[in-house]
Amino acid sequence: MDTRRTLLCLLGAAWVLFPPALPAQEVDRAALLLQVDFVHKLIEESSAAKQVEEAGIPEAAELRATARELYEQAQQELKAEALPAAKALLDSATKKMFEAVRAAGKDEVVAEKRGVDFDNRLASLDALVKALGEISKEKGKDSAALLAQLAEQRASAVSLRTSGDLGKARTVLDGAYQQTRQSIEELRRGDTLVRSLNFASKKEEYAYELDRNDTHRMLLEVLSKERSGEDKGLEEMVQKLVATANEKRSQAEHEASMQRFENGIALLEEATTQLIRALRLSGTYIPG
Amino acid sequence: MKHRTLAGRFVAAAATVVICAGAAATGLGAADPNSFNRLLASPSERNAPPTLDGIHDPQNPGTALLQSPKAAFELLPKSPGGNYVNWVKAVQEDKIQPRYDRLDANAKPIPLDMNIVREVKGSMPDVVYPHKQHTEWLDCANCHPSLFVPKKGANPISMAEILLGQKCGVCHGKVAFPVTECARCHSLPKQKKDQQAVAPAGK
Repeated sequence: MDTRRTLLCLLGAAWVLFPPALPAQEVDRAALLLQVDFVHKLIEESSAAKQVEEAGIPEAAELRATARELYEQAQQELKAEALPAAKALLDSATKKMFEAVRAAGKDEVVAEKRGVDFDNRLASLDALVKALGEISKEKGKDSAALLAQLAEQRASAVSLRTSGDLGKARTVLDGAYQQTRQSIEELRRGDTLVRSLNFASKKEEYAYELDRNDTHRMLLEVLSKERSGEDKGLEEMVQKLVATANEKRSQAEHEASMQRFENGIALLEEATTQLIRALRLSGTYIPG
Repeated sequence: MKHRTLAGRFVAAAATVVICAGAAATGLGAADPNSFNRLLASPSERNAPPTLDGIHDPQNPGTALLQSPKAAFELLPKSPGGNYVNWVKAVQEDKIQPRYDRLDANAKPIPLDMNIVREVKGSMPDVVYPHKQHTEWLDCANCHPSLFVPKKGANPISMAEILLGQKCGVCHGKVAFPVTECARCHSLPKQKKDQQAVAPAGK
């Protein structure tokens, strides 16, 4: 992960470090001094530098040494007030350092990323194939042949990966994934699924109400922070409602601790209603 | 202005908004990385220039050269909340063309026209989750199964979780409209449910 982060940082920094070349007389001295500092850190202190050190790969070490030399030359040019030359050398030093990092871990980074991508795609395929089976059952559609074919493609992809052919493995996996996605789309097109709210017990409903209460408290916290001090009178009214809500919540928690969840639910509902009023008073549109 | 992206579906937005939770956690108002709203900047702080956004290193000489979100978003459809861009509309009006596949520039999305209605308690309208608007930009694998298991009843969702950046909150409040825009998800009034008048949210 360190390698990948390092490369991403370097890639992100690359384009800003090499802006379109300015005419010689327009090199900004202050910006150049910042670049000197940046390049020094890049070569000597950055995670990239550590990575090159730790990799112990001669090619990477040589490229870093070249970057160092270019940096030293840039320092000399800077002393001589040859700013464009110094800038060009700093740019070259940065490029060399990028090359050093690539030499230190490119294959490792790419292989790791491709492996992770494959695993993630495989997990998605498994989840979607399972869903496809359930949707087919729900719709009374016989998808046995398709599911068997997808299972075969999956097995083939995994086998290819095991044998080291990750590129081909991914192609086979993607084929199965696309087919699954398309099949689900065809089966589900135009559907509206309703997820009903059913509580197994009063305790469960109490937990739901607790969460609802927490949610509104959180919203109020943020929104009141945004608006604090804007209107003292309004703030007082909001605080009054919050105080009532807090009181009801305490009572609810007490009831719940006595296993009287039904009472707790009713009190939490009242507490949340107070918070909703406070939110609306603060200017937030709460539907319902 | 049209944005062509190079690396995935979020990138038109990601160039200027939060793409790295870890980095964002150290950003604006983030004294406690686990506090609520740690990834949702206040309105006055949204779309800040890169040197002030709490994401980029202001000491890096390149940071000041990055495009400001305000400039990047100027011609995109407006939204009253979040980063003030209606991303769904931006895609539908072809103002942005998110690249669907990193490796294949010609790959097209397969939008899934399916709504999921989640009932909620009280007078609050039920939630309508429109797959269509999401799959015009995202791939199934972006959410399934890591965020949501594609199975009935397998995904209990609490608003507190979302507010803390989990489930829907992985995107909403960061790169998609924030959860303070209640009515955009809670869009199905109770009395209309029986009539099956399901209005797609997200617009």
